[in-house]
Amino acid sequence: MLKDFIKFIIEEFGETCPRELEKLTQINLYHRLLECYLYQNQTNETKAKKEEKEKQLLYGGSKSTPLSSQVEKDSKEAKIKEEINTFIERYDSKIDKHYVLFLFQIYEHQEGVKNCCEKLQLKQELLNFYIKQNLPSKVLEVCKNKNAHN
Amino acid sequence: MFLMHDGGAAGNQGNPAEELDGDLWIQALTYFRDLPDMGNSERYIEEALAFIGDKHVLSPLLVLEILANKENLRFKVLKQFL
Repeated sequence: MLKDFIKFIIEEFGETCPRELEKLTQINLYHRLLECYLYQNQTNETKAKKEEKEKQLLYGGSKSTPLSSQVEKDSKEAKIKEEINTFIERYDSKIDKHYVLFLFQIYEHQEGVKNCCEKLQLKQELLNFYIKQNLPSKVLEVCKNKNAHN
Repeated sequence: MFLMHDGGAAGNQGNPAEELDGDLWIQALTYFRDLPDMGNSERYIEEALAFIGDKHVLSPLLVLEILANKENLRFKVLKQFL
């Protein structure tokens, strides 16, 4: 509900009366809306992981989830991810990218962390990200690119 | 620390950007060294060393110091670099 409310305020008043919006609250609504998306995304992921774990414990992985329910779950997850991406593209000028990176890290949105680091040219952060993800070829790529740019 | 031996940056006297390059490579080499898969680990180390040697990013002594902690590292991995 909070997500829908903030989305409505931003879409209705974000472009037409940004000053009033600013006066209305000192809290950056754009960041709050992104936080709502990220929270939802994290909740979905945690739930999916928990369900998967329970399934493994109960059936030893032999019983699969009904296809329709799996498809529904996947589309829900994909939708929220798409909403995050659209938000980032649409409100690029309205958000503080460093704060957004912080939010992505807090809510463990890996794709967002990666894209943000690339956009902000944060090589050290990007390197740490790939090391954490255990992607040696990407680690090499980051180091090589760093030298190629200089 | 003795990072680079090219561009006057040895002994930590280079500009911060150059030092960061060195730091990134130190971190990457350490990560490749600690990779559990021996074959993959050597492949990445070899590739990294080829680049480090070509661009003179780190001093050979520092590279050896990092890789000395890896047990069973074959000489052929280092041969080209040395």
